[in-house]
Amino acid sequence: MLVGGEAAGVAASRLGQAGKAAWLGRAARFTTSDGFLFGSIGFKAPFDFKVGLYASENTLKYETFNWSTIAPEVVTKNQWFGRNMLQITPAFQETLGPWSSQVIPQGTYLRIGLVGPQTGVGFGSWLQLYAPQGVNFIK
Amino acid sequence: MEELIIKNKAVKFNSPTQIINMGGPWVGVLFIGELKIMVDVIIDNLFYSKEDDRLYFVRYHKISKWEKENYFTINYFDLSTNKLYMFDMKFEMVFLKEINNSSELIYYEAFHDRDESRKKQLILGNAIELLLDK
Repeated sequence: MLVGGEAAGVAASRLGQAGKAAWLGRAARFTTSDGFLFGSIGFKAPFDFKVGLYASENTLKYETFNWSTIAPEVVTKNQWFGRNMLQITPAFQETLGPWSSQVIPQGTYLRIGLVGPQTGVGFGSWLQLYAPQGVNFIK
Repeated sequence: MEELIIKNKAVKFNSPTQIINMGGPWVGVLFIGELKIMVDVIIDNLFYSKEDDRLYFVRYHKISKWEKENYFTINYFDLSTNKLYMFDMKFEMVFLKEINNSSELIYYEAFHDRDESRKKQLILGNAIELLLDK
């Protein structure tokens, strides 16, 4: 049986979780169909540059990718980064794919912006690049 | 996905591409043999039910700039009549698993079947007939 402060703490915690879930659900409404928070800006890559991504099974199978990011390698080793800052939820992938370093060639049309929230994870929002036509893996 | 052969015809996908965000599912154009069935079909999530001679699959409907307004539907192609159908239900996420007792579809509210807490059942009712994509 809970009394006084304990009960208030539990209630606040439950309310906090419910409130957080509701807030995240609302935040996900501002994610565009290509995964950005509010929107993105288009440009052509002025030179070749290195990016990284968590590669799904199909990404590895087809050896092409659309979404990538730029981040220090040390942070990419932490699952929290992929789950929260890149919004790869457990409902999307139960286990995060391997981190893969790739190169976007000069002249590739890209869109850049912040990662849009997905329902079920925290409100992380890291830099994200999207190549609508896809980019082939470097061999 | 291992190659699926139904009645000597290969089930295959053209133009595979990823959707939603990094780690998101992949869609492609579904073919049975040379017959084009539908665009934007989730790759790796379809199955053939011998009992009713149907191929079940999931289609992504990108109708809006905003992700929350886009959705998935469960569809099937009836190989005995060569007709295409869609169930009138929208899903934020769905992964098809199997048919139970010819009338109950087991699915997951996710893009995979590894989280039992997301397992659901759907009684298959009437479906809407669609025209084949040209």
